[in-house]
Amino acid sequence: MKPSKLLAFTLGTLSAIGGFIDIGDLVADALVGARFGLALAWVTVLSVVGIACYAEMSARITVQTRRPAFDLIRSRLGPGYALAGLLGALAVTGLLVMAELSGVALALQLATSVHYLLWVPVAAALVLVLVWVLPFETMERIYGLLGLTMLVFVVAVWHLIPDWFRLWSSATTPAPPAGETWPAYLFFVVTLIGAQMTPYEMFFFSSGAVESRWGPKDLTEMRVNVLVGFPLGGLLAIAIQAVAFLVFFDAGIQVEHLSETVLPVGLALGKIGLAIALIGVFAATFGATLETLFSTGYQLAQYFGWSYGKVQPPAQAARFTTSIASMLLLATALALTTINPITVTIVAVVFSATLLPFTFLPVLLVGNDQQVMGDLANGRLSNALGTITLGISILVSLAAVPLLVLTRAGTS
Amino acid sequence: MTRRVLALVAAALLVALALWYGQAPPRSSEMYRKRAEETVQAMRSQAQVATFWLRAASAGRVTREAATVGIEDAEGDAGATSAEFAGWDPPADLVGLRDEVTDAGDDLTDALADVRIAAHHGQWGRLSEAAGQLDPLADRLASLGTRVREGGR
Repeated sequence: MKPSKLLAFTLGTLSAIGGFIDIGDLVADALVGARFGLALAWVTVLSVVGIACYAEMSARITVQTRRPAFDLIRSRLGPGYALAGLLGALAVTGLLVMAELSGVALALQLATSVHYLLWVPVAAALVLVLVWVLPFETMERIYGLLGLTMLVFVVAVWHLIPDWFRLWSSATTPAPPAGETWPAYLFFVVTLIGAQMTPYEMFFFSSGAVESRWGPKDLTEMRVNVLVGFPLGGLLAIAIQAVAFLVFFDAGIQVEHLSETVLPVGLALGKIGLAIALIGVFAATFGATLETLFSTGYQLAQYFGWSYGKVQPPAQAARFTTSIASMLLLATALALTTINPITVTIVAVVFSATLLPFTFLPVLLVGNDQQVMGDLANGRLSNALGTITLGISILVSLAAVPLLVLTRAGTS
Repeated sequence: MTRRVLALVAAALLVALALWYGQAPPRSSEMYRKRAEETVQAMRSQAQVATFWLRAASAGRVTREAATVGIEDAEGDAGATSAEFAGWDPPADLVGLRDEVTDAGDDLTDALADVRIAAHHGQWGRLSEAAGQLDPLADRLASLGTRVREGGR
Protein backbone atom coordinates (compact mmCIF):
# COMPACT_ATOMS: atom_id res chain seq x y z
CA MET A 1 0.00 0.00 0.00
CA LYS A 2 1.28 3.50 -0.88
CA PRO A 3 2.19 5.70 2.13
CA SER A 4 -0.30 8.38 0.97
CA LYS A 5 -3.11 5.79 0.82
CA LEU A 6 -2.14 4.44 4.24
CA LEU A 7 -2.23 7.98 5.61
CA ALA A 8 -5.70 8.53 4.13
CA PHE A 9 -6.90 5.28 5.76
CA THR A 10 -5.43 6.21 9.12
CA LEU A 11 -6.77 9.76 9.04
CA GLY A 12 -10.24 8.58 8.01
CA THR A 13 -10.38 5.97 10.78
CA LEU A 14 -9.07 8.37 13.40
CA SER A 15 -11.67 10.92 12.27
CA ALA A 16 -14.41 8.32 12.65
CA ILE A 17 -13.28 7.59 16.23
CA GLY A 18 -13.18 11.26 17.18
CA GLY A 19 -16.38 12.03 15.25
CA PHE A 20 -18.43 9.33 17.01
CA ILE A 21 -18.80 11.33 20.24
CA ASP A 22 -21.09 14.37 20.46
CA ILE A 23 -22.93 16.27 23.21
CA GLY A 24 -25.58 13.53 23.43
CA ASP A 25 -22.90 10.92 24.15
CA LEU A 26 -21.00 13.13 26.57
CA VAL A 27 -24.10 13.77 28.65
CA ALA A 28 -25.86 10.41 28.31
CA ASP A 29 -22.76 8.27 28.93
CA ALA A 30 -21.74 10.11 32.08
CA LEU A 31 -25.30 10.20 33.36
CA VAL A 32 -25.77 6.49 32.72
CA GLY A 33 -22.38 5.53 34.18
CA ALA A 34 -23.07 7.45 37.41
CA ARG A 35 -26.50 5.84 37.90
CA PHE A 36 -26.23 2.39 36.35
CA GLY A 37 -22.49 1.67 36.22
CA LEU A 38 -21.72 -0.38 33.12
CA ALA A 39 -25.09 -2.12 33.18
CA LEU A 40 -25.95 -0.33 29.92
CA ALA A 41 -22.62 -0.88 28.15
CA TRP A 42 -24.34 -3.54 26.02
CA VAL A 43 -26.51 -0.77 24.54
CA THR A 44 -23.38 0.97 23.27
CA VAL A 45 -22.20 -2.28 21.68
CA LEU A 46 -25.62 -2.71 20.05
CA SER A 47 -25.66 0.91 18.85
CA VAL A 48 -22.18 0.64 17.35
CA VAL A 49 -23.15 -2.51 15.42
CA GLY A 50 -26.40 -0.88 14.23
CA ILE A 51 -24.96 2.47 13.15
CA ALA A 52 -21.90 0.85 11.54
CA CYS A 53 -24.19 -1.49 9.58
CA TYR A 54 -26.39 1.35 8.28
CA ALA A 55 -23.49 3.75 7.66
CA GLU A 56 -21.76 1.06 5.57
CA MET A 57 -25.02 0.30 3.76
CA SER A 58 -25.81 3.94 3.00
CA ALA A 59 -22.27 4.58 1.75
CA ARG A 60 -22.52 1.51 -0.51
CA ILE A 61 -25.85 2.79 -1.84
CA THR A 62 -24.32 6.20 -2.50
CA VAL A 63 -21.38 4.65 -4.34
CA GLN A 64 -23.79 2.69 -6.52
CA THR A 65 -26.56 5.25 -7.09
CA ARG A 66 -24.68 8.54 -6.54
CA ARG A 67 -27.72 9.64 -4.54
CA PRO A 68 -27.82 10.45 -0.81
CA ALA A 69 -30.20 9.10 1.84
CA PHE A 70 -32.92 11.76 1.83
CA ASP A 71 -33.17 11.71 -1.95
CA LEU A 72 -33.74 7.96 -1.74
CA ILE A 73 -36.38 8.24 0.96
CA ARG A 74 -38.41 10.58 -1.23
CA SER A 75 -38.14 8.54 -4.41
CA ARG A 76 -38.66 5.19 -2.68
CA LEU A 77 -41.50 5.93 -0.26
CA GLY A 78 -43.12 9.01 -1.78
CA PRO A 79 -43.17 12.73 -0.97
CA GLY A 80 -45.72 12.41 1.88
CA TYR A 81 -43.58 9.96 3.87
CA ALA A 82 -40.47 11.97 3.06
CA LEU A 83 -42.12 15.25 4.16
CA ALA A 84 -43.12 13.75 7.53
CA GLY A 85 -39.57 12.46 7.90
CA LEU A 86 -38.16 15.83 6.87
CA LEU A 87 -40.20 17.76 9.46
CA GLY A 88 -39.30 15.33 12.24
CA ALA A 89 -35.62 15.20 11.28
CA LEU A 90 -35.40 19.00 10.97
CA ALA A 91 -36.97 19.54 14.40
CA VAL A 92 -34.66 17.06 16.12
CA THR A 93 -31.51 18.06 14.22
CA GLY A 94 -32.30 21.74 14.83
CA LEU A 95 -32.46 21.07 18.59
CA LEU A 96 -29.20 19.16 18.34
CA VAL A 97 -27.49 22.08 16.55
CA MET A 98 -28.46 24.23 19.53
CA ALA A 99 -27.27 21.58 22.00
CA GLU A 100 -23.93 21.05 20.22
CA LEU A 101 -23.33 24.80 19.95
CA SER A 102 -24.04 25.11 23.67
CA GLY A 103 -21.60 22.22 24.23
CA VAL A 104 -18.84 24.22 22.52
CA ALA A 105 -19.71 27.21 24.73
CA LEU A 106 -19.79 25.02 27.87
CA ALA A 107 -16.31 23.65 27.08
CA LEU A 108 -15.04 27.23 26.73
CA GLN A 109 -16.78 28.15 30.00
CA LEU A 110 -14.99 25.32 31.81
CA ALA A 111 -11.66 26.54 30.44
CA THR A 112 -12.20 30.20 31.31
CA SER A 113 -15.04 30.36 33.89
CA VAL A 114 -16.70 33.01 31.66
CA HIS A 115 -20.45 32.20 31.45
CA TYR A 116 -21.35 29.99 28.51
CA LEU A 117 -24.02 32.37 27.20
CA LEU A 118 -21.24 34.86 26.41
CA TRP A 119 -19.45 32.16 24.42
CA VAL A 120 -22.48 31.08 22.37
CA PRO A 121 -22.29 33.95 19.81
CA VAL A 122 -18.49 33.54 19.62
CA ALA A 123 -18.87 29.82 18.92
CA ALA A 124 -21.54 30.55 16.28
CA ALA A 125 -19.29 33.11 14.57
CA LEU A 126 -16.39 30.64 14.60
CA VAL A 127 -18.61 27.96 13.02
CA LEU A 128 -19.74 30.39 10.31
CA VAL A 129 -16.18 31.46 9.47
CA LEU A 130 -14.85 27.90 9.32
CA VAL A 131 -17.76 26.70 7.19
CA TRP A 132 -17.03 29.54 4.79
CA VAL A 133 -13.26 29.19 4.69
CA LEU A 134 -12.26 25.54 5.10
CA PRO A 135 -12.78 22.73 2.58
CA PHE A 136 -15.08 19.87 3.60
CA GLU A 137 -12.43 17.19 4.11
CA THR A 138 -10.04 19.45 6.04
CA MET A 139 -12.84 20.46 8.40
CA GLU A 140 -13.82 16.83 9.00
CA ARG A 141 -10.24 15.71 9.62
CA ILE A 142 -9.32 18.58 11.96
CA TYR A 143 -12.18 18.09 14.39
CA GLY A 144 -12.00 14.30 14.05
CA LEU A 145 -8.32 14.23 14.97
CA LEU A 146 -8.72 16.77 17.79
CA GLY A 147 -11.62 14.67 19.05
CA LEU A 148 -9.14 11.83 19.55
CA THR A 149 -7.96 13.64 22.66
CA MET A 150 -11.12 12.14 24.18
CA LEU A 151 -9.05 8.97 24.54
CA VAL A 152 -7.92 10.60 27.78
CA PHE A 153 -11.11 9.07 29.26
CA VAL A 154 -9.70 5.59 28.49
CA VAL A 155 -6.41 6.50 30.20
CA ALA A 156 -8.38 7.89 33.17
CA VAL A 157 -10.05 4.49 33.69
CA TRP A 158 -6.60 2.97 34.32
CA HIS A 159 -5.47 5.81 36.55
CA LEU A 160 -8.53 5.48 38.76
CA ILE A 161 -7.24 1.98 39.60
CA PRO A 162 -10.58 0.24 39.22
CA ASP A 163 -11.71 -3.07 40.63
CA TRP A 164 -11.76 -4.80 37.24
CA PHE A 165 -13.92 -7.63 38.53
CA ARG A 166 -16.56 -5.13 39.67
CA LEU A 167 -16.47 -3.36 36.28
CA TRP A 168 -16.88 -6.70 34.48
CA SER A 169 -19.64 -7.76 36.83
CA SER A 170 -21.51 -4.49 36.20
CA ALA A 171 -21.06 -4.77 32.43
CA THR A 172 -22.38 -8.33 32.39
CA THR A 173 -25.46 -7.58 34.51
CA PRO A 174 -27.95 -6.01 32.10
CA ALA A 175 -30.42 -4.98 34.78
CA PRO A 176 -31.01 -1.92 36.99
CA PRO A 177 -28.81 -1.81 40.11
CA ALA A 178 -30.37 -1.62 43.58
CA GLY A 179 -32.44 1.54 44.04
CA GLU A 180 -33.19 1.95 40.32
CA THR A 181 -36.36 0.87 38.52
CA TRP A 182 -36.89 -0.98 35.25
CA PRO A 183 -38.74 1.95 33.59
CA ALA A 184 -35.80 4.26 34.38
CA TYR A 185 -33.35 1.63 33.10
CA LEU A 186 -35.33 1.23 29.87
CA PHE A 187 -35.61 5.01 29.47
CA PHE A 188 -31.82 5.21 29.47
CA VAL A 189 -31.63 2.33 26.98
CA VAL A 190 -33.69 4.58 24.68
CA THR A 191 -31.57 7.63 25.53
CA LEU A 192 -28.29 5.86 24.76
CA ILE A 193 -29.61 4.46 21.49
CA GLY A 194 -30.88 7.93 20.57
CA ALA A 195 -27.51 9.46 21.45
CA GLN A 196 -25.40 6.88 19.63
CA MET A 197 -27.50 6.01 16.57
CA THR A 198 -28.40 9.45 15.31
CA PRO A 199 -30.18 9.91 11.94
CA TYR A 200 -28.10 13.01 11.22
CA GLU A 201 -24.99 10.81 11.10
CA MET A 202 -26.59 8.88 8.23
CA PHE A 203 -27.57 12.01 6.30
CA PHE A 204 -24.16 13.51 6.84
CA PHE A 205 -22.31 10.32 5.96
CA SER A 206 -24.17 9.67 2.71
CA SER A 207 -24.25 13.32 1.64
CA GLY A 208 -20.53 13.56 2.39
CA ALA A 209 -19.96 10.50 0.19
CA VAL A 210 -21.78 12.24 -2.68
CA GLU A 211 -19.80 15.43 -2.10
CA SER A 212 -16.49 13.56 -2.06
CA ARG A 213 -17.56 11.68 -5.24
CA TRP A 214 -16.87 8.27 -3.76
CA GLY A 215 -16.55 5.45 -6.24
CA PRO A 216 -16.19 1.65 -5.92
CA LYS A 217 -12.45 2.08 -5.28
CA ASP A 218 -13.24 4.01 -2.09
CA LEU A 219 -15.35 1.22 -0.61
CA THR A 220 -12.47 -0.45 1.24
CA GLU A 221 -11.39 2.82 2.85
CA MET A 222 -14.98 3.56 3.84
CA ARG A 223 -15.41 0.08 5.36
CA VAL A 224 -12.20 0.37 7.35
CA ASN A 225 -13.31 3.77 8.64
CA VAL A 226 -16.68 2.43 9.71
CA LEU A 227 -15.66 -1.00 11.00
CA VAL A 228 -12.63 0.19 12.96
CA GLY A 229 -13.49 3.83 13.71
CA PHE A 230 -17.03 3.36 15.05
CA PRO A 231 -16.18 0.49 17.45
CA LEU A 232 -13.26 2.49 18.82
CA GLY A 233 -15.66 5.44 19.19
CA GLY A 234 -17.91 3.06 21.13
CA LEU A 235 -14.96 2.20 23.37
CA LEU A 236 -14.61 5.90 24.16
CA ALA A 237 -18.29 6.04 25.09
CA ILE A 238 -17.88 3.06 27.44
CA ALA A 239 -14.80 4.71 28.97
CA ILE A 240 -16.91 7.80 29.78
CA GLN A 241 -19.50 5.52 31.43
CA ALA A 242 -16.72 3.72 33.33
CA VAL A 243 -15.07 6.84 34.82
CA ALA A 244 -18.46 8.20 35.88
CA PHE A 245 -19.21 4.82 37.50
CA LEU A 246 -15.89 4.72 39.33
CA VAL A 247 -16.13 8.26 40.72
CA PHE A 248 -19.85 8.96 41.16
CA PHE A 249 -21.78 5.71 41.56
CA ASP A 250 -20.93 4.91 45.19
CA ALA A 251 -21.33 8.57 46.21
CA GLY A 252 -24.86 8.59 44.70
CA ILE A 253 -24.02 11.60 42.51
CA GLN A 254 -26.39 12.34 39.61
CA VAL A 255 -24.68 13.86 36.58
CA GLU A 256 -26.49 17.01 35.44
CA HIS A 257 -23.78 19.05 33.69
CA LEU A 258 -20.93 18.75 31.25
CA SER A 259 -18.62 19.86 34.07
CA GLU A 260 -19.41 16.57 35.84
CA THR A 261 -18.54 14.57 32.72
CA VAL A 262 -14.93 15.84 32.80
CA LEU A 263 -14.46 15.96 36.59
CA PRO A 264 -13.38 12.27 36.87
CA VAL A 265 -10.59 12.90 34.34
CA GLY A 266 -9.30 15.76 36.49
CA LEU A 267 -9.42 13.55 39.59
CA ALA A 268 -7.54 10.80 37.77
CA LEU A 269 -4.99 12.74 35.73
CA GLY A 270 -4.84 16.25 37.18
CA LYS A 271 -4.95 19.56 35.34
CA ILE A 272 -3.22 18.28 32.20
CA GLY A 273 -5.77 15.48 31.89
CA LEU A 274 -8.61 17.93 32.43
CA ALA A 275 -7.20 20.29 29.78
CA ILE A 276 -6.91 17.43 27.26
CA ALA A 277 -10.47 16.33 28.05
CA LEU A 278 -11.72 19.90 27.49
CA ILE A 279 -9.96 20.04 24.11
CA GLY A 280 -11.69 16.76 23.27
CA VAL A 281 -15.10 18.05 24.38
CA PHE A 282 -14.57 21.24 22.38
CA ALA A 283 -13.56 19.32 19.25
CA ALA A 284 -16.33 16.73 19.58
CA THR A 285 -19.10 19.29 20.06
CA PHE A 286 -17.66 21.66 17.45
CA GLY A 287 -17.47 18.85 14.91
CA ALA A 288 -20.99 17.74 15.76
CA THR A 289 -22.23 21.34 15.38
CA LEU A 290 -20.88 21.30 11.83
CA GLU A 291 -22.35 17.86 11.12
CA THR A 292 -25.81 18.66 12.46
CA LEU A 293 -25.81 22.03 10.72
CA PHE A 294 -24.88 20.52 7.38
CA SER A 295 -27.42 17.76 7.90
CA THR A 296 -30.27 20.29 8.15
CA GLY A 297 -29.09 21.89 4.90
CA TYR A 298 -28.76 18.49 3.20
CA GLN A 299 -32.23 17.39 4.35
CA LEU A 300 -33.92 20.52 2.96
CA ALA A 301 -31.90 20.63 -0.27
CA GLN A 302 -32.36 16.95 -1.01
CA TYR A 303 -36.11 17.05 -0.40
CA PHE A 304 -36.76 20.16 -2.50
CA GLY A 305 -34.17 19.32 -5.15
CA TRP A 306 -31.95 22.35 -4.60
CA SER A 307 -28.32 22.27 -5.54
CA TYR A 308 -26.27 21.71 -2.40
CA GLY A 309 -22.86 21.03 -1.09
CA LYS A 310 -19.81 22.33 0.65
CA VAL A 311 -17.66 21.68 -2.40
CA GLN A 312 -19.60 24.29 -4.40
CA PRO A 313 -19.09 28.01 -3.93
CA PRO A 314 -21.87 29.44 -1.68
CA ALA A 315 -23.38 31.42 -4.56
CA GLN A 316 -23.83 28.21 -6.58
CA ALA A 317 -25.85 26.68 -3.76
CA ALA A 318 -27.48 29.82 -2.41
CA ARG A 319 -30.57 28.19 -0.87
CA PHE A 320 -28.47 25.48 0.80
CA THR A 321 -26.09 28.09 2.21
CA THR A 322 -28.99 30.31 3.34
CA SER A 323 -30.72 27.40 5.10
CA ILE A 324 -27.51 26.55 6.97
CA ALA A 325 -26.95 30.16 7.99
CA SER A 326 -30.60 30.51 9.08
CA MET A 327 -30.43 27.34 11.16
CA LEU A 328 -27.25 28.56 12.84
CA LEU A 329 -28.93 31.87 13.65
CA LEU A 330 -32.01 30.08 14.99
CA ALA A 331 -29.91 27.71 17.11
CA THR A 332 -27.91 30.64 18.51
CA ALA A 333 -31.11 32.51 19.37
CA LEU A 334 -32.56 29.39 21.03
CA ALA A 335 -29.38 28.86 23.07
CA LEU A 336 -29.47 32.50 24.19
CA THR A 337 -32.97 32.07 25.64
CA THR A 338 -31.10 30.40 28.58
CA ILE A 339 -32.98 27.14 28.04
CA ASN A 340 -30.98 24.35 29.70
CA PRO A 341 -28.87 22.75 26.93
CA ILE A 342 -28.55 19.47 28.84
CA THR A 343 -32.34 19.10 29.10
CA VAL A 344 -32.65 19.95 25.40
CA THR A 345 -30.02 17.31 24.62
CA ILE A 346 -31.88 14.60 26.52
CA VAL A 347 -35.23 15.48 24.90
CA ALA A 348 -33.61 15.72 21.44
CA VAL A 349 -31.91 12.31 21.66
CA VAL A 350 -35.13 10.68 22.87
CA PHE A 351 -37.09 12.14 19.95
CA SER A 352 -34.19 11.28 17.66
CA ALA A 353 -34.65 7.65 18.75
CA THR A 354 -38.32 7.80 17.70
CA LEU A 355 -37.27 8.75 14.15
CA LEU A 356 -34.76 5.95 13.64
CA PRO A 357 -37.04 3.47 11.83
CA PHE A 358 -38.12 6.15 9.34
CA THR A 359 -34.46 6.61 8.39
CA PHE A 360 -33.43 2.95 8.44
CA LEU A 361 -36.35 1.47 6.48
CA PRO A 362 -35.71 3.10 3.06
CA VAL A 363 -31.96 2.46 3.35
CA LEU A 364 -32.60 -1.24 4.04
CA LEU A 365 -35.12 -1.45 1.16
CA VAL A 366 -32.75 0.11 -1.36
CA GLY A 367 -29.76 -1.84 -0.07
CA ASN A 368 -31.73 -5.03 -0.77
CA ASP A 369 -32.85 -4.04 -4.25
CA GLN A 370 -30.80 -6.17 -6.67
CA GLN A 371 -31.95 -4.08 -9.67
CA VAL A 372 -30.62 -0.87 -8.18
CA MET A 373 -27.62 -2.23 -6.30
CA GLY A 374 -26.38 -5.02 -8.58
CA ASP A 375 -23.24 -6.61 -7.11
CA LEU A 376 -23.23 -4.14 -4.22
CA ALA A 377 -26.62 -5.32 -2.86
CA ASN A 378 -26.78 -6.40 0.80
CA GLY A 379 -25.35 -9.78 1.67
CA ARG A 380 -26.79 -12.07 4.36
CA LEU A 381 -24.83 -10.47 7.17
CA SER A 382 -25.85 -6.91 6.20
CA ASN A 383 -29.47 -7.99 5.88
CA ALA A 384 -29.53 -9.87 9.16
CA LEU A 385 -27.90 -7.02 11.11
CA GLY A 386 -29.97 -4.39 9.28
CA THR A 387 -33.24 -6.20 9.99
CA ILE A 388 -32.43 -6.79 13.66
CA THR A 389 -31.40 -3.12 14.05
CA LEU A 390 -34.60 -1.98 12.32
CA GLY A 391 -36.69 -4.21 14.63
CA ILE A 392 -34.96 -2.78 17.71
CA SER A 393 -35.37 0.76 16.41
CA ILE A 394 -39.13 0.20 15.97
CA LEU A 395 -39.44 -1.01 19.58
CA VAL A 396 -37.37 1.95 20.77
CA SER A 397 -39.45 4.35 18.69
CA LEU A 398 -42.71 3.07 20.20
CA ALA A 399 -41.39 3.05 23.78
CA ALA A 400 -39.53 6.39 23.76
CA VAL A 401 -42.29 8.90 24.54
CA PRO A 402 -44.22 6.70 27.02
CA LEU A 403 -40.97 6.08 28.93
CA LEU A 404 -40.09 9.78 28.79
CA VAL A 405 -43.42 10.61 30.44
CA LEU A 406 -43.57 7.65 32.84
CA THR A 407 -40.11 8.33 34.27
CA ARG A 408 -40.26 12.15 33.94
CA ALA A 409 -37.21 12.01 31.67
CA GLY A 410 -35.49 9.48 33.88
CA THR A 411 -35.78 11.48 37.08
CA SER A 412 -38.12 9.07 38.87
CA MET B 1 -54.31 13.75 2.87
CA THR B 2 -56.70 15.38 5.40
CA ARG B 3 -56.67 12.17 7.43
CA ARG B 4 -52.88 12.16 7.51
CA VAL B 5 -52.78 15.79 8.61
CA LEU B 6 -55.33 15.07 11.34
CA ALA B 7 -53.32 12.05 12.48
CA LEU B 8 -50.16 14.16 12.62
CA VAL B 9 -51.91 16.91 14.60
CA ALA B 10 -53.38 14.31 16.98
CA ALA B 11 -49.96 12.72 17.49
CA ALA B 12 -48.36 16.12 18.15
CA LEU B 13 -51.14 16.97 20.66
CA LEU B 14 -50.67 13.62 22.38
CA VAL B 15 -46.94 14.24 22.77
CA ALA B 16 -47.57 17.78 24.07
CA LEU B 17 -50.16 16.53 26.60
CA ALA B 18 -47.83 13.72 27.66
CA LEU B 19 -45.00 16.18 28.24
CA TRP B 20 -47.34 18.47 30.19
CA TYR B 21 -48.40 15.47 32.31
CA GLY B 22 -44.73 14.80 33.05
CA GLN B 23 -44.44 18.26 34.60
CA ALA B 24 -47.62 17.96 36.67
CA PRO B 25 -47.30 18.49 40.44
CA PRO B 26 -47.74 15.52 42.83
CA ARG B 27 -51.41 14.94 43.62
CA SER B 28 -51.31 12.37 46.41
CA SER B 29 -49.43 11.89 49.69
CA GLU B 30 -47.59 8.91 48.24
CA MET B 31 -46.51 10.89 45.17
CA TYR B 32 -45.55 13.90 47.29
CA ARG B 33 -43.39 11.70 49.52
CA LYS B 34 -41.73 10.18 46.43
CA ARG B 35 -40.96 13.64 45.02
CA ALA B 36 -39.59 14.66 48.42
CA GLU B 37 -37.26 11.67 48.38
CA GLU B 38 -36.09 12.50 44.83
CA THR B 39 -35.56 16.14 45.79
CA VAL B 40 -33.47 15.19 48.82
CA GLN B 41 -31.40 12.73 46.76
CA ALA B 42 -30.75 15.39 44.12
CA MET B 43 -29.73 17.96 46.73
CA ARG B 44 -27.40 15.46 48.41
CA SER B 45 -25.84 14.78 45.00
CA GLN B 46 -25.35 18.52 44.47
CA ALA B 47 -23.67 18.90 47.88
CA GLN B 48 -21.35 16.00 47.14
CA VAL B 49 -20.39 17.12 43.66
CA ALA B 50 -19.48 20.56 45.04
CA THR B 51 -17.32 18.82 47.66
CA PHE B 52 -15.57 16.82 44.91
CA TRP B 53 -14.76 20.05 43.03
CA LEU B 54 -13.54 21.80 46.18
CA ARG B 55 -11.29 18.93 47.23
CA ALA B 56 -9.95 18.51 43.69
CA ALA B 57 -9.20 22.26 43.46
CA SER B 58 -7.54 22.27 46.89
CA ALA B 59 -5.36 19.33 45.84
CA GLY B 60 -4.44 21.09 42.58
CA ARG B 61 -6.08 18.34 40.48
CA VAL B 62 -8.37 20.71 38.55
CA THR B 63 -8.08 24.32 37.45
CA ARG B 64 -9.75 27.03 39.53
CA GLU B 65 -11.76 28.07 36.47
CA ALA B 66 -13.27 24.60 36.09
CA ALA B 67 -13.88 24.27 39.84
CA THR B 68 -15.66 27.65 39.89
CA VAL B 69 -17.97 26.48 37.10
CA GLY B 70 -18.61 23.19 38.90
CA ILE B 71 -19.53 25.02 42.11
CA GLU B 72 -21.78 27.48 40.25
CA ASP B 73 -23.54 24.56 38.55
CA ALA B 74 -24.11 22.83 41.91
CA GLU B 75 -25.47 26.01 43.49
CA GLY B 76 -27.79 26.70 40.54
CA ASP B 77 -29.11 23.14 40.63
CA ALA B 78 -29.62 23.16 44.39
CA GLY B 79 -31.59 26.42 44.18
CA ALA B 80 -33.73 25.15 41.29
CA THR B 81 -34.38 21.75 42.90
CA SER B 82 -35.37 23.29 46.21
CA ALA B 83 -37.54 25.97 44.58
CA GLU B 84 -39.38 23.42 42.43
CA PHE B 85 -40.24 21.33 45.48
CA ALA B 86 -41.23 24.39 47.51
CA GLY B 87 -43.64 25.37 44.70
CA TRP B 88 -45.77 22.24 45.15
CA ASP B 89 -48.59 22.42 47.70
CA PRO B 90 -48.16 19.60 50.23
CA PRO B 91 -51.06 17.38 51.36
CA ALA B 92 -52.32 18.49 54.80
CA ASP B 93 -50.48 15.67 56.60
CA LEU B 94 -47.12 16.44 54.99
CA VAL B 95 -46.68 20.17 55.65
CA GLY B 96 -43.90 19.34 58.12
CA LEU B 97 -42.07 17.31 55.50
CA ARG B 98 -42.19 20.25 53.11
CA ASP B 99 -40.69 22.53 55.78
CA GLU B 100 -37.91 20.08 56.54
CA VAL B 101 -36.96 19.56 52.88
CA THR B 102 -37.09 23.24 51.97
CA ASP B 103 -35.10 24.19 55.09
CA ALA B 104 -32.39 21.71 54.10
CA GLY B 105 -32.51 23.12 50.54
CA ASP B 106 -32.13 26.69 51.83
CA ASP B 107 -29.17 25.71 54.03
CA LEU B 108 -27.49 23.94 51.13
CA THR B 109 -28.06 26.87 48.74
CA ASP B 110 -26.67 29.31 51.33
CA ALA B 111 -23.59 27.13 51.92
CA LEU B 112 -22.95 26.79 48.19
CA ALA B 113 -23.42 30.54 47.69
CA ASP B 114 -20.75 31.18 50.36
CA VAL B 115 -18.40 28.81 48.53
CA ARG B 116 -19.11 30.46 45.18
CA ILE B 117 -18.47 33.94 46.60
CA ALA B 118 -15.19 32.78 48.17
CA ALA B 119 -14.14 31.27 44.83
CA HIS B 120 -15.02 34.48 42.96
CA HIS B 121 -12.99 36.47 45.52
CA GLY B 122 -10.05 34.15 44.98
CA GLN B 123 -10.07 33.01 48.63
CA TRP B 124 -9.02 29.49 47.70
CA GLY B 125 -7.42 28.91 51.08
CA ARG B 126 -10.90 28.96 52.66
CA LEU B 127 -12.31 26.35 50.32
CA SER B 128 -11.14 23.15 51.98
CA GLU B 129 -12.74 24.48 55.17
CA ALA B 130 -15.92 25.14 53.15
CA ALA B 131 -15.81 21.58 51.82
CA GLY B 132 -15.81 20.41 55.44
CA GLN B 133 -19.02 22.39 56.04
CA LEU B 134 -20.75 20.68 53.15
CA ASP B 135 -20.12 17.19 54.55
CA PRO B 136 -22.56 17.52 57.51
CA LEU B 137 -25.18 18.93 55.12
CA ALA B 138 -24.76 15.91 52.83
CA ASP B 139 -25.11 13.61 55.88
CA ARG B 140 -28.24 15.47 57.01
CA LEU B 141 -29.75 15.09 53.53
CA ALA B 142 -28.83 11.39 53.45
CA SER B 143 -30.51 10.83 56.80
CA LEU B 144 -33.61 12.82 55.73
CA GLY B 145 -33.78 10.80 52.51
CA THR B 146 -33.71 7.53 54.44
CA ARG B 147 -36.49 8.67 56.76
CA VAL B 148 -38.68 9.82 53.86
CA ARG B 149 -38.12 6.52 52.05
CA GLU B 150 -39.01 4.50 55.11
CA GLY B 151 -42.24 6.43 55.52
CA GLY B 152 -41.45 8.32 58.71
CA ARG B 153 -40.64 11.96 58.78
